[in-house]
Amino acid sequence: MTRSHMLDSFMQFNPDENHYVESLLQGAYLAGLLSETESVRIQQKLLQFVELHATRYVGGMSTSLPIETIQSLAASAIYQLSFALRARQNATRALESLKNKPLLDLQKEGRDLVKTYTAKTRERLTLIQKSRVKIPHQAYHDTLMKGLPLFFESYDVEYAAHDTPGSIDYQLAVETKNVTGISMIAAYLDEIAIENEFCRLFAPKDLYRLMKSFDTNYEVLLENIFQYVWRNAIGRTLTHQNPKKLTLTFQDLETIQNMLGFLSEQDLRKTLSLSANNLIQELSIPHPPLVALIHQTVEIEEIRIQLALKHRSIDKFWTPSL
Amino acid sequence: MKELSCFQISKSKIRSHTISQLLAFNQKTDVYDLCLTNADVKALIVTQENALTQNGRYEFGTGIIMKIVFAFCDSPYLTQENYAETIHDLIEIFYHFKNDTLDAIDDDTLIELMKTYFDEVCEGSLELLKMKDLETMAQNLRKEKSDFKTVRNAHHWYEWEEWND
Repeated sequence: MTRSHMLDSFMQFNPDENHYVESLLQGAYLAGLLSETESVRIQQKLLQFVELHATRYVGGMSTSLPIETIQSLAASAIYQLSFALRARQNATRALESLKNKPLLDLQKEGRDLVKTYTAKTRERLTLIQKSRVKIPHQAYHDTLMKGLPLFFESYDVEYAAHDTPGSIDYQLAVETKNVTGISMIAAYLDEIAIENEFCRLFAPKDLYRLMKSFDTNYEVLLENIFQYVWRNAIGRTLTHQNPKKLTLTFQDLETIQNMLGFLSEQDLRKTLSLSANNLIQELSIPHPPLVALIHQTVEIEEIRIQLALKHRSIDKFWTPSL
Repeated sequence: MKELSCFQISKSKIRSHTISQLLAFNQKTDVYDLCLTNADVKALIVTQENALTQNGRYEFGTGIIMKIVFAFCDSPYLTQENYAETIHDLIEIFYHFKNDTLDAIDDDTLIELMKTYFDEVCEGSLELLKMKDLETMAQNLRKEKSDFKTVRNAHHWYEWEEWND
């Protein structure tokens, strides 16, 4: 394979989001695009770059720092570099920039991108705050109105761009993994916006009744609203009822137990997927990310449903109405 | 490439620069009858590396040993007999108090403060310097009893105690 072919095929390589620079270098080395000497040269370049960044941090007033501080500064500087490299669109161009461009220039470019992205994400938070689900839930509202704004107040783009300060108590149905800093907040907002979109398809009084049926003190718990709404909406679809209402009776639960209890794992998955499709159709959901989340939730909840069926405790999974 | 693996790269260039710088400085300390041999200088670099490791610090600049030697060479309490040994101790004390003061004091100021206490308060006692004066100063800084300027102006820890009373 010629070098040109190798570079072409390296374009398809997707470096690990959370360790972009490290993953890019490893990928290039394994693809034969980076010699041992070049690899050492880039590492030395990175070392000098991190030392310069540390010198700037201490304002030239100190020549040493605690290892943890240096590690944090290095992680922040490399996070900024990663933003600039990701903007190159493909791994081949990112590698070329890393090899040939001065790292301080790349860092400045990355820092500007992080700043712009942070400003856009902040605007997004404002929009999401305005379209919150209108039922009482302390962790949900506190996270959106206090914890996340705190992130934007404390976020240090210059020296701790990789950190995620603030307080996020409200857990999402699908955990945000492998991202840090502003990327983590953006991913969290993306998902909570989709969850909200789903919950807004239902009347707030129905959501409230569902959550109260789950626990009369649900307001102070950390439970994810979307998850409970999804469960009962799927339950309604399985029992051929309009999913717009979220109520399930004990008789409905009995029907579900009889319907799913004897299915093989494969058939259970098929039935749940079919039910998710029906739900999407009946609620007229056109938005692909929400469609994807509904299906992804099938994969996450499947094991819990299996266990609940096995132990005949589906009333712990689906919430019967009070 | 693991996190920080690039920091493992040899610092031999920095070491040889420090050695030649310190040996050249013997010309200046000659007036005080002080001299460091090649072996002394190498041993000081080892002490610095050990002090960094023990205190969990990473050095990204150069010249701390040189700065300490430059600041202390005119001390009336240094003689050729205790010169190298005192510099070893001062290097250890320096990194210890960089940590103990939570990096609130810059390098030059800490060295200046060490020198002032050493000459004017501790009368050449490294024990007093470390265990009393610098320790009290660091404690007060950590407790945020006062800003650093006030701490520096309190020349003796007894005075400092009175100041706080």
